Amino acid sequence: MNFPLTITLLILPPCLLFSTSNLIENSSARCGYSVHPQQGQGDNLLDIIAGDTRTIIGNALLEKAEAYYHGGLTDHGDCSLVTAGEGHDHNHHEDERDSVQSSAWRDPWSYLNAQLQTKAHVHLDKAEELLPWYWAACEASPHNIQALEAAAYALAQMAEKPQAALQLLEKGIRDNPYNVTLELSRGEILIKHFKDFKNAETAFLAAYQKSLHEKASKDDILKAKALFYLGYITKHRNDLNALQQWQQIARETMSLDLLSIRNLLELN
Amino acid sequence: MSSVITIDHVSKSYGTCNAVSDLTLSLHAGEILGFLGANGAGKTTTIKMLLGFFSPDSGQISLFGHNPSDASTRQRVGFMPETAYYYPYLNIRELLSFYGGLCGMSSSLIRQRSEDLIARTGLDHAKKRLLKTYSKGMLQRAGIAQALLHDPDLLILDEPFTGLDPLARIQLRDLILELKTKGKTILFSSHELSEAELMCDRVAIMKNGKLVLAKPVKEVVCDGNTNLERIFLNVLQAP
Amino acid sequence: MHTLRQLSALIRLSLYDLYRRKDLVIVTILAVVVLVPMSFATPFGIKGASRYLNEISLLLVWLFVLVIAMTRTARIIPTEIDSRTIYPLLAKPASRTVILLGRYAGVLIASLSVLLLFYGLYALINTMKSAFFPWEVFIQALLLHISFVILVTALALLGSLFFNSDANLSVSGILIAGMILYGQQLPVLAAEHSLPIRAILHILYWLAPHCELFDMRTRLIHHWPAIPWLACFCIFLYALAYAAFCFGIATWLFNRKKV
Ligand SMILES: Nc1ncnc2c1ncn2[C@@H]1O[C@H](COP(=O)(O)OP(=O)(O)OP(=O)(O)O)[C@@H](O)[C@H]1O
Ligand SMILES: [Mg+2]
Repeated sequence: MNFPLTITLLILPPCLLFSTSNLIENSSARCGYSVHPQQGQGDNLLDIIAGDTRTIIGNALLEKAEAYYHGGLTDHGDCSLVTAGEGHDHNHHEDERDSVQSSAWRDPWSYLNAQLQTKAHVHLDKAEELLPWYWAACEASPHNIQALEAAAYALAQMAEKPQAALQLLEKGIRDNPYNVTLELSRGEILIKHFKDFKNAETAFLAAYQKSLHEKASKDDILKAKALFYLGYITKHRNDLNALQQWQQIARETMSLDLLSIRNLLELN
Repeated sequence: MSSVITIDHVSKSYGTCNAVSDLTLSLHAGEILGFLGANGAGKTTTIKMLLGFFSPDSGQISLFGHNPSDASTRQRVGFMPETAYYYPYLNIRELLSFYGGLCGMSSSLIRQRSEDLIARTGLDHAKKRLLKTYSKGMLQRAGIAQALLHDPDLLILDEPFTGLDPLARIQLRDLILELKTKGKTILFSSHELSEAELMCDRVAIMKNGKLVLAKPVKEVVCDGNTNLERIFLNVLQAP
Repeated sequence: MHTLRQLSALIRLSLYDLYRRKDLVIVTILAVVVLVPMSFATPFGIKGASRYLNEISLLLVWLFVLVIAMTRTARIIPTEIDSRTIYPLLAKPASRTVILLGRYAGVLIASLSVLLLFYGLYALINTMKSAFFPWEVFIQALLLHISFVILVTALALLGSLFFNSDANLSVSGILIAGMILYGQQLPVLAAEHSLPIRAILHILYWLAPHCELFDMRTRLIHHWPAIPWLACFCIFLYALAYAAFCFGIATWLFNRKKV
């Protein structure tokens, strides 16, 4: 058996991922938009296979990033990244040890394994540690909206680098021109971190228009969110006419008014 | 004279192939025996049993009166196999030091013996090179050196002349004869009948696993008109 | 004395073999090629991440050491037979048990020397980069990794007496990977099946090597607390006992092997 060959085969994938992911990305740039963020688009088999592989790698990297958020724990149950925020750093050293102890003789293997696994539930304090994995996930699968969103969240909220988050989202929007979510996130960051209502309005307007496009996701929640923010911004600059207009559109297209949308989406 | 090798009604078969059947042969101290026979006659099989690589299906083998599969018996035996590709990432010194260690020799003794043997086998010019760069004949010489390293009383050589150039053959022949004067016992298998005729006290010819002739060379080639080659052909072509 | 000389000769042979082949050089070059550019990476233009590097270095160490140790052990006996050096070897006044022990110990020591080299580099780079280094977890991780190497090489040695080296590597590779992934799930799986399969799964659970018990990488990377030392030693002893068991069977087979 050829030793160097084996080694090369084993480590080539991770190497490629980190050093030449630009290549992957360029070759896939023509793949167009994505309705289902998890799938690469293409018209021949090779494109589909390449797309799927990228998706799998991207998801694995995304999972890695989430594990890092939970101190390396992959099995983190109910703690989802997007909702997990402050006040989530509880340590529960459960009394698992006692229940395990009794079975040490009956089942030494699972006893020893339990000793190896951690019982502490800790959260990462240094957001920078997550970024390489998010970066790699986004590079590996540029159409993976979940990865883009999570990375933007980590950048803006945790690492406090909203500018970098905006750049990432803008690139994501270029790669996925019919995606509504990315526009919404961009608008939210512009409001929250830059108080830039003018550009935010452009983003939400784009989100709303994309949500009407036949190629976009048919998720009404996204449309509702766009409408709410558009109303919110027009209200902010006291443009009551425009506000009325958005109210009207919301009632007509979704049979909801903006206030109930706000309540529905728990926005503030 | 005490018997160094005793082979007593030994048979060995591989499945349906009778490699050795009912072989009886013995070798006395200080004697040189040429072990001859056509390809596939059973020479190597016999040698392997002599070294305890496996036991015969029936019959008894003893070296110096002991079972060859005991490690201590092999302390007095040197063996050179048919073509072997010695560890490619060692040089000849390291190879000999490895085998010397296996024989339990001290490192100073190993150093002394191996320098001597490297010179005797004509590998002096190549002693710093890795064995993977050695030619076939050079590997054969390395094989001779490792067999002689621990100064054994009995030498078993399987086709030692194959691949050697004429000069090396003469040197090996001289070496073997020199060992005989020191009282060593030597058994070698060979297809080189002229070498056998020149060196051996006795020849044993195998055919299809059976011993068909075992006589002192002097008796075989008693009159000046014949030679070992002719005898060999006669024996093998007989029905 | 005699036996010690024989063992030391056999061990030296493996060390020469490892360090003179290009394997180690290739492995080191690959590691450098992967890790150095990666260490300068600033994802999204932001500095400060270091755990990803530790993670990837440790992954490479695991892969490299596993591949080196397994391929080396799996090839001990087949190579001796192919190159016919088995004959002069067995003709020497050393018992087959000593020969097998020495060859195995040699490969093991050679592989462990590579392991120690890599772990030393890991510790060196990490202590240079930051003030805090989890020494206790590091020692435990090293001890368990050593145990793992002892276990898998003994497995590969045993396999080499049944299969040729490619088949051996595939079979032991599948067994090791399978146990790492599903070792702890076997009782759960057993409970879901009816009798014959359940019995087989239970036997597997008790007899197969529990390769999943040796990996402390996550603890090391994320600075978790150390595990109880008692558990650490139990796992170490388990690996030793399992390796001794495999070696025992291998010796028994090797002593009966016709060459
Ligand atoms: N491992 C084996 N399995 C099956 N048959 C074998 C094996 N080894 C040898 N034989 C057979 O046993 C017989 C004797 O073989 P052996 O190697 O002893 O011959 P030899 O006299 O040394 O021949 P050569 O002069 O070609 O070296 C041959 O017919 C050979 O095919
Ligand atoms: Mg032969």
